[in-house]
Amino acid sequence: MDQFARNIKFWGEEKQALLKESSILIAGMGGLGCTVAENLVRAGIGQLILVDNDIVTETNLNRQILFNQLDIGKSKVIIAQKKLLRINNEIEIITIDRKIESINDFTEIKSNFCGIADCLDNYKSRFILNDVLKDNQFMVHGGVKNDFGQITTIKNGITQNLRQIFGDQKDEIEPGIIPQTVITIGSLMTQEIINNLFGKPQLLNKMLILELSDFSMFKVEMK
Amino acid sequence: MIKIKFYSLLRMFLKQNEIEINEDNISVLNLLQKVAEKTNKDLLAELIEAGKLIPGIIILLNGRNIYHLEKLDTIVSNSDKIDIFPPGGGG
Repeated sequence: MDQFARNIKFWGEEKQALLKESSILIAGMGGLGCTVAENLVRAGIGQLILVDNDIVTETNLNRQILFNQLDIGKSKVIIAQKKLLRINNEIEIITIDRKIESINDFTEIKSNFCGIADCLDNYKSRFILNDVLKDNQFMVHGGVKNDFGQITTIKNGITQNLRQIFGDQKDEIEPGIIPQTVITIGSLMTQEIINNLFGKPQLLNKMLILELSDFSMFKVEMK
Repeated sequence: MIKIKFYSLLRMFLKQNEIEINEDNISVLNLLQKVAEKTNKDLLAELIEAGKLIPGIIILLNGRNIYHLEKLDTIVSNSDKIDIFPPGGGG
């Protein structure tokens, strides 16, 4: 457990053990997914399920921290799995090389994951992802554009779902995204995922909006 | 007072975080016109196209998206709270 000695100094052995027993499904291995995955592995998560059907391209390299030029053309989930196991080879990483187009895309997942990280890049798939959520699970949503982004926690019966919150969203094709925005939002998503795992979510019925341009952070009340 | 808060691109466009309008029983569309007059900025051009809210903009009335209410015809009462922001869709 030396790898997590500094974590334990902060949150203690009990919570470190809880993380080891926890499983998170990360949907989308882009800028947000890479950051969330690496943070969770370094935090000590026991199992990750990575879902993405893309290959690494040159335009990914400005922000997707698990990939480099040698990975171009290769499967994102396979490369991510390889890199994450180099950080901690005692964890389990399940890879699903698939685009999220239907709730049926999740039927083969047998693992009882605790929560979902919505790191997708389009609302159609995000809404389908929300349908997968069970009552005993949570979903942390994150989205970014330019130098701003937002995060919230979704829980069935407690919060609105993503369709209710976002309504009629048209997806912008490849919006501007800079590394510091996506890495910051991804890190804040990680914090909220861990808050949920520790039983203290901070963004139930609240949308955190972060604007890097002047370091502004707002919590918008949702009902 | 109706309190209207703006975030990200709209906050930068208006150069202010929030504005208060003393109205009651007013539609969202008319309220936005009042905001445009008060700020002297062409806010409607940023939010509305062909009479409809531009997809990619969220307007919350007391935490609920007006898309699921009466859209721009949704009635706002005195002391209601409006939040307007363009969410980031990328990952």
